[in-house]
Amino acid sequence: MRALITRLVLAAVTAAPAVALLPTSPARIDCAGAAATHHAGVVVEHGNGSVLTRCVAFGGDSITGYDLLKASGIQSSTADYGGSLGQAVCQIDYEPPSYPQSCFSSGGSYWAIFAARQGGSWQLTSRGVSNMSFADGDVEGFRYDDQGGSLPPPDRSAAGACPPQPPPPSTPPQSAPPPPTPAQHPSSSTPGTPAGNTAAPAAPGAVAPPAAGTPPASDAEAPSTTPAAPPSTPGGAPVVDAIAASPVAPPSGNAGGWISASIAVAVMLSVLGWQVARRPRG
Amino acid sequence: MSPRCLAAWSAAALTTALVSTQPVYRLLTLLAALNVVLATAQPHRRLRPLLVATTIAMALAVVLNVLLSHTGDTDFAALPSSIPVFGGRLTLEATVYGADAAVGLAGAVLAVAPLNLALEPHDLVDALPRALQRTAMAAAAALNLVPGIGRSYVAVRDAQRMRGLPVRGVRALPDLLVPVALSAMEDSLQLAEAMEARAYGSGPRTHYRVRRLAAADVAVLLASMTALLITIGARVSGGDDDWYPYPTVTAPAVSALMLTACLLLLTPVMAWRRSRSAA
Repeated sequence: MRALITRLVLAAVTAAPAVALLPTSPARIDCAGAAATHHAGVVVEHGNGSVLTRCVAFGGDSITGYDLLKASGIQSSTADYGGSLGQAVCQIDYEPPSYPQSCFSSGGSYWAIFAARQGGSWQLTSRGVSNMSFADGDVEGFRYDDQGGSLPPPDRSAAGACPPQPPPPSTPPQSAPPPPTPAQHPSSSTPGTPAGNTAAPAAPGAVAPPAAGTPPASDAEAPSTTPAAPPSTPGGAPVVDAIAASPVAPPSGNAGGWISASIAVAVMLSVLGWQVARRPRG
Repeated sequence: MSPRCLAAWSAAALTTALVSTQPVYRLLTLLAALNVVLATAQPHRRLRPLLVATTIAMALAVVLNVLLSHTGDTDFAALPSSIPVFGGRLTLEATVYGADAAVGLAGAVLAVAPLNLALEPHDLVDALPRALQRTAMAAAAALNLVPGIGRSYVAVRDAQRMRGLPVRGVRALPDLLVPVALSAMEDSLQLAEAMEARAYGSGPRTHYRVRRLAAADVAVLLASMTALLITIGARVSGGDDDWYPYPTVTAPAVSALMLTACLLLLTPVMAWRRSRSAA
């Protein structure tokens, strides 16, 4: 709990200059294709500056930040701090690859949470993601920031990084295709897959798909080798848009090292057995 | 077996067990420490209490971590949230993390166990630098008083019980504690007189048999220092990064250099067992 409070305070102090550098232009993500009443955006800015954006359609009047992140299909993991703090964001899109039991490490970076209300500028929030509420037109932002505050903030914010898309025709033609699905949307990656595998294959910093057999995080999408069904929003509407360039892949072990480790363990156990056998009884 | 070399080995093993969060290195350190305990423990020392206590501590570490940490993505059970502190999801990741911590804990305990099981207290005092020897002797004498007081308490209690005096309750305490305190002071005076009679403090301590470093001791010392340097170097350079099983358990990266460091911790088993056999 203390760690979370410390980081929230750190976030408020260290990210203030970052907020000042954020563009004042509205954080806007085009949700033109959504087939639901309300839409909200999710912007994730990785530590290396690459940006992942999604648009989520939802049915109710508002949606919590936690549900919005989950519904976006972006891999994420949280830890429940309970009370007024709620869920703390530990990992997004496999960054960091792993985290301590308390969610935050004693140094390094953490996910700072921002909100842009109704096209306004980014505001740093000091609450857990589950205690934030987003309405139609809002955008939820995450940025992997250094918690020490010694590094300068990124030059460019995630806001506006999502290029505007052509607006939909006001009146669909008679022979219009059915409501767009992620696979049919020309500029979207397949929701439910780590971003960067489909939408922007040649994007700088994009990495190869995760290795087959790597267990996907629960409450997250499966790796691209095993496409999953599009995630649903609380309102039942699908995630409709995604433009992504994910730089982070799930971690995996090295087979050679494990063979060596197995041999080492076998040597140790053999010596142990030899000693036990030679040790006098009683 | 040189106490200083054994202390160097303990420092190296303890560093590996505590500094690295990687389960493979911790497991190898635990196995190496277990091997060294078996190889160096004096024959009359009983190992069962140590091993049982370590096993219980390991089990507690795992169980408590599973019950207290509800982080991780892979649930295998859940306790009602109405139960304070313990209520919530029970996850595979918390189990793995608890097991990792338990192995590290056991490795740390067994890394220092040979100092107690293989050496006498005066060996350790002698192994200290000369500037620390007087302080260490005073500390050792004070610590030795604790079991002495315990023995004295039992003897006084039994003697009073045989004489029909009450030995339970608060009222009986003064009759018990006064003779125990007097016995402790008498023992302290006797110790001081014995040390003075043996010319303690008149010069450097001499030994009937001067202990010199044998080849086996040098091998253990070099191996321990190498393992220590590799462990610290890997930690500083990022070759041994922190490993966490959250949000999902992943296979940690294993480096050949750190495996070598762990295997070097096995050197005392080969070196000292061989020298014992030769003796």
